[in-house]
Amino acid sequence: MKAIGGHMGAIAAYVKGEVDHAAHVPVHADALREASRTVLDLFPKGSGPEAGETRALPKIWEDWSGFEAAVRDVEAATAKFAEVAAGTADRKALGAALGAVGKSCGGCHTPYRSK
Amino acid sequence: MPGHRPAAAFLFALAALVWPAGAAETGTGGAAARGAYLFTAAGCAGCHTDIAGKGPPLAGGRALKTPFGTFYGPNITPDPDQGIGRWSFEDFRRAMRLGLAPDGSHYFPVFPYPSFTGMTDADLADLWAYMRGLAPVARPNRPHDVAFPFSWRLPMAGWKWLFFEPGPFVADPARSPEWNRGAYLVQAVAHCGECHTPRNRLGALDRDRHLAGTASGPGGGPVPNITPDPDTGIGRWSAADLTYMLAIGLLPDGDVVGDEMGEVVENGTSKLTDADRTAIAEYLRSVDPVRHEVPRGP
Repeated sequence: MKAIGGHMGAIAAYVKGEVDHAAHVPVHADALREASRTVLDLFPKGSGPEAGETRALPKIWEDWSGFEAAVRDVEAATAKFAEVAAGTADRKALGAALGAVGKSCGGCHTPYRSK
Repeated sequence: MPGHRPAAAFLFALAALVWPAGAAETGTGGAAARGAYLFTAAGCAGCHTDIAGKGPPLAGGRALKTPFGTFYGPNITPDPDQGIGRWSFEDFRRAMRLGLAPDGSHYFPVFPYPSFTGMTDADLADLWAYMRGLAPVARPNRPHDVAFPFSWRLPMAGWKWLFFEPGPFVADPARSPEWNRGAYLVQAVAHCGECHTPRNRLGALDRDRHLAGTASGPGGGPVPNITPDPDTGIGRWSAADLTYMLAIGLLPDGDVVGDEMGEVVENGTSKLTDADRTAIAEYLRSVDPVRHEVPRGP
């Protein structure tokens, strides 16, 4: 998950105008898409609060189908973003598309992660 | 378009003659459009819609847990019986500016009139124009789940005397228009302090720690310190970090804001103009840094 944050941050740095590495954006976008496909594996049964320090809420396993649906949304959003990133270096367009990805992140982070 | 102006002026004058006096309250076009923007910035839908229960917009029913009990946001649609359809603009102005209901009773400050009081009369008029045009919903209000003495409205007079300073925002002439716009949005309209400022035992905002965060906010969880303190607040954030967070909810470390702030971004700040987000950032980066660690997580 931290890797996902790293890629999001790198893309955001370009969108915000902090850096000019336009060519890096598709690299991070592709990585983001691939990383989002690993997320479900990171939450095996028994890895919740009972296993130690984690912000994962028991609701993940109580509502696995809901959690899985939210993760699939992220996979779709990051795939879409990777397509956009392959076609443009325009910061505004990328920013808007990144917003959709950020929204999909909230689909898990709000209901399934402790505050 | 030179030819159109005299015609437009004539029509406008004619309209002003024949339009009923109360029409300013249900105007379309300019006032309602500006009101719609204010409505978004003020986040009314957030407290007045039962989002979790998929309730109809602004028909009330959202629970707000506080140390004094659970309050349920009322119906503010123009329904004449269950909503505020019978209200005049003056009723609305008194509610927002003074925290008073049309019958003279006090509102509990869970309704953040201590912040909304800062809104100008012109903005309140525009907001009212917009609200009058919304769909009326006949959903009755759910009574607050608050135990005595906190359910008793009379002591609110004393609370107000101690803690409430009514009156619209006054611009600081020593500051830029942009700073003043940001201050107005943060302090009055978007009422950020109502979540982000710690409160005293009687539930009043601790103004010495303006925006310094709290371990138990209205959602029940921690609310971050958004003063420019470098260690416990947002002192290390750039202006772009801030405006970008307000635009899409992304945090500098690549994470996203969740829960209530996620709602604020999605329904509110993401829909503001770039200029307004920039103004908010300028104001936030100028407030007194307060060192106040708000622990995150479970």
